[in-house]
Parts: sequence; C-alpha cells; structure tokens
Amino acid sequence: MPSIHVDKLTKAYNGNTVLKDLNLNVKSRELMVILGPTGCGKSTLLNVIAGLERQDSGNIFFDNEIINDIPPEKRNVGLVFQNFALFPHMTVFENVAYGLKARGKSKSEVGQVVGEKLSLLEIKHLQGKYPGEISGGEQQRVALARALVIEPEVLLLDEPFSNLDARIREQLRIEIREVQKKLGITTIHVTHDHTEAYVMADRIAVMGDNRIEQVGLPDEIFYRPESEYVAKFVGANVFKGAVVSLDSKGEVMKVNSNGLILTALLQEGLRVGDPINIFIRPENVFVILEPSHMSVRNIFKGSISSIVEMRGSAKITITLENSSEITAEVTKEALSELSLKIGKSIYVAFKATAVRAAKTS
Amino acid sequence: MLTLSGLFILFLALPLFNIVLNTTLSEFWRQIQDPVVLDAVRVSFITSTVASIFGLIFGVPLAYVLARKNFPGKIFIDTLIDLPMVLPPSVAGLALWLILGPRTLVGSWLGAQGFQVLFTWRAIIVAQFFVASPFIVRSARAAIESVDVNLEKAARSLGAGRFYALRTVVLPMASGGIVAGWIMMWARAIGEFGATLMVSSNVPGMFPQVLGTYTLPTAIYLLFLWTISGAVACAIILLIIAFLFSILSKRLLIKRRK
Repeated sequence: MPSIHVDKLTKAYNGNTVLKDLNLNVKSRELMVILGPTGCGKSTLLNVIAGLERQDSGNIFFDNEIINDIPPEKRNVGLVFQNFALFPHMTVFENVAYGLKARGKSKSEVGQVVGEKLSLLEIKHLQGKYPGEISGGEQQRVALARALVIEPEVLLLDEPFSNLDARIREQLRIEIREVQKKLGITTIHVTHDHTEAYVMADRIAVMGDNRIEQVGLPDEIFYRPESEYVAKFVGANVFKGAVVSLDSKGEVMKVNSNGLILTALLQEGLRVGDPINIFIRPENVFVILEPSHMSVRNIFKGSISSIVEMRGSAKITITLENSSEITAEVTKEALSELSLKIGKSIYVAFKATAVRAAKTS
Repeated sequence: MLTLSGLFILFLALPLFNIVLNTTLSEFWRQIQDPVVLDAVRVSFITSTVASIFGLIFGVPLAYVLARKNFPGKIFIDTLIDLPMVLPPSVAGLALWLILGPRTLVGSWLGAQGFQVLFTWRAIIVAQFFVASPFIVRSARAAIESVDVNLEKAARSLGAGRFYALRTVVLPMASGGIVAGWIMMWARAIGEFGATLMVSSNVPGMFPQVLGTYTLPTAIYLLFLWTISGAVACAIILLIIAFLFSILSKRLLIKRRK
C-alpha cells in the first residue's frame, strides 16, 4: 500500500482559491483523518487525489511516483461519498460488481469476489435489492463494499457517516476502522466531526481555509494545539498574552493575559516579553466555590454567564474579573451539587500543566 | 375562475374538434389513400425521423457538455441553442436558403460534391433539424443534470473510463428525458412548416413511385388552395400524432421522476 504525498497543491474555481500550497503526507497503511469545517476544501482535496479534478499546480505522489497525469480509473483509489452515490438503477450485487465488470473480469471471478466483500460487510442478504429499498446504514456498507471490491491501494472517505443516525454511525466507525486495519489500506477520511476524528484516526490533519493547519496524533491535536485556529476549532479556551517571567528551575512561566497572571508549563524557545497564545481545554478547568483547598496554581474569581447542558455534562462560561471569558466542562453531578446558576460567583481553577502556550506568528 | 378556465379550454378544443367535423370517415379514408397525401405522409415520417436521429447523435453530446462542463461563453451557446425555438420559422427558412443556395459558398461546394440540398428532401431534413433540435438538447441536458455527478465520479474511481461510465451510469439514468426529448423533437419536426416551405421545392409526390417534397404541414397549405378535404385529412393525421406524442412524452417524464 502506497504512502501519499501531496506537495504544494493549489486549486481555484472561477477565481476562488479552494486549496493553496497544501502539503500533506500520509504514511502507508495509515488512517489519516482530515478534520475541518464545512467548505474548507476537504472534498476538493479528495477529488484531486482521486483524479476526478485536476489541480492548478502542485504534485501528488503515491510512494515516489507522480500520479498527476494518471486518469481516475487507473489510480486504483476507492471512494466513498457522504450521499453514498450508489447506482440507483442497479441492484446491490450489480453495484458492488461494477468495478470488476469495468475491468472486464470473468463472470465467475466477479461472483466470487463480490460474494467475499458482501460477506465482509455483512450485507449478503441484500444483494438482490435496489439501493432505494435499503436503509442508509446498509447503503453505506454497500458503498464501502463497492469501493473495496477493486482492492484499492488508497481509500478516500468523504464524510461517509454524516447522513446516518447516531447509533449506526458509532457502529460503522468501529467496523470501518477494523476493516481498514485488516486490509491495511492507506486511507484518508474527511470529516467535521471531532469525536469521529478522535475515535478513528491514526493521525489527524486539521484543515483551515485552503491549507493544513496542524498534523498530529489525536491527543496532540486536541490537547496540544499549535495555533489559535486549531485551538478554537477543537474547542479549547484561547487567551492572548505575553511571557512575564520564566521560572528559575525552567519548569513553569508566568504569563500576563489582559491583566490576569497565569502560571503555564514552560515551552522551549520562549523568552520574556514574547507574545503568545495560551490554550486550556474546558475539561481541564474546574469550577469551585472556595479557593482554599485546591493545590493548583491558577485560581481566578469570576461569575457564571451561561450554562449549556449536554448529555452527561455541561459547558459553563465564566466571566473573569478582567472580563475575559473561560469555558469549563463539568459533570451533571457537579452542576447540581454546587448548585451552579447563571450570575453565581465562583472560582475557576486549572493546573499549570493544563496551560499550553504557543508563540504567535 | 371556473368560467374563465372553461372558456379557455373551449377556445383551444373547439377549432381542433371542428376540423374533425369537417369531414366524414369515408371521405377521410378516401383522402388518405390519395397518392399525394400518402406521399406527404411518407416524406414527413422519413424526414422527421432522420432529423431527430441526427438530433440524438449531435444533441446528446452537446447536452452532456452543457450539463457537466463550465467554460467561457457557455451562456452564449446556451442562448444560441434556444434561438431556433423563439425565432419565426420563416427567418430560419431564409437563413438556410441564404446559405444553401447554389451561388453561396456552402451551397456551391455541396453542389460540386454532387450533393444538392436546396429544393430537395434533404433541405427538409436540414430545416427540421435546425428548428427542432433545441428540444432534444434541452430535455437531455435537464435529464443529465439530474444524474448526481457523484455517481459518475464513483464509476470513474471504480475503473470505468469516461465512455464506460457514460454508457452504464449516465445514459441509462437519463434515458427517460433523452427519449422524451427525442419524441418532442420528432413531433416538432413533423409539424415544421415555415422553414420547410421556403427551402423545399414543394413538388407533390405520387405514392409509391414518385418521392415529392410535400410534408404534411406544407401539403395542408398547398392542398387547401384547391381541395379542402385533402388538407383536412392531413390535418387530422397531424392532430392524432400531436395528441399521441404529447401523452407519450408526458408519461416518459413522469416515469423519470419516480
């Protein structure tokens, strides 16, 4: 299975730049999730890699081979779409068999290989039905079987679960992940769903407008964002500030953010006076009523300005004394035990190790 | 509301039914066995079938390009294609006459190849194609546009070349609209009058020996000057065709939407 190397890819439609000098490296057998908001150019990137659209400039390599001029039908790339894109005038069997028939395989070979893939995805019983007669989850299994039947070296998944129910989605995430590992296909999976990215990815590439902002392991992306864009996109609190002092032992530093003095984990290469962004994940921010019993270094007074309840937890936004806002994620139990209400005065606390800093460019 | 609708329908229906009242079954039967009328039927069926087959051959590829590609000047081509539909047929006739005439560049070149067009049945096909081909382009374009472009992309990624994908995915799915367009073009071609009158020599034929250049619509006009009952017979044939084909193309379009 090849590695994929995208080099300085640029693509515009009618003067609108969709991809700008985009670089991306996907290792052989890796599942790379491209995480980004709707309309950032993710689908275009997949289309270009599949050969369905031509880039304006830049190169795409499978291993060391430039594939710019290879037509889509010769790239051996499996593609799965958000809207499934099953051929409505063909049965499930005919849909899955399509790629083999296009390659002129014999009838017995078609029957055998299609049978294998139908079994792999547990849809053999559906083979005589038309796409319009089966559920969304089943349709996506068919689409996956159809893509896998040509034994692709590269699999491209374009928001494959976003038209499915939550329950089916969770199940298919695990199954597709297993199938991908089993077959070892180099895979690029595009999504805007954070949980999906976190659960499925070997690595995640966060995509902003036209380009890749950061590539890393899921934990790196969610807990150690390197830019304001990525931090905001993954839901972290972002403060602008400057380094005030560095600890003599070299472990922590003081940061001034709009009058608030925070203690943060020291980051290499920073000097006093450097302008920085600091990021704190909401689940690392604790809400307490009294500041006394906590051993953490960052404790600030504030009042609750909004509460958004979710399944199992709640997001609380607190306005601090310097009028900055910080979001904390607390459990439902904490919400009722501390009787948190809008307007209530409380303290927020977070460890120095939960505060990440990145120099502003 | 109902009264106005009723009046409107009456206004459409009365003249049409009145044609039928102007003849008897035996007279109609006698007239359509007339060699001149029979030849007009023959010429009409042959020319409009050939014209609409050319419409398929040239119109569907163009419809595909218009449905799927964006290019500078697309709106110009789009307008150009619609032009014959809104242009008076006499303008089309004049335009064709001016280009196919013996002393024109195209006409004299064709003549030198031994392929005279003007004043022959070939001119009828050209006139019908010119006036009626927009129907197939429009209908086929709408049908192709309604085929999700991702289906084509999926087919290509699965190993289908451009034409294989077209043949196995796009055309089967768009076939309803393409056939509907073909039928509409055929019906429009068989009803073509103005341009045909100007570019064909309007020679009555004698079925089966002599192939003339009367079509049913021009035959109505020319017969009506000397025998009204022949014109009525031709008109009834066209009326039946128009009626059947309208129903047929509607059914095809409804089936496509399902």
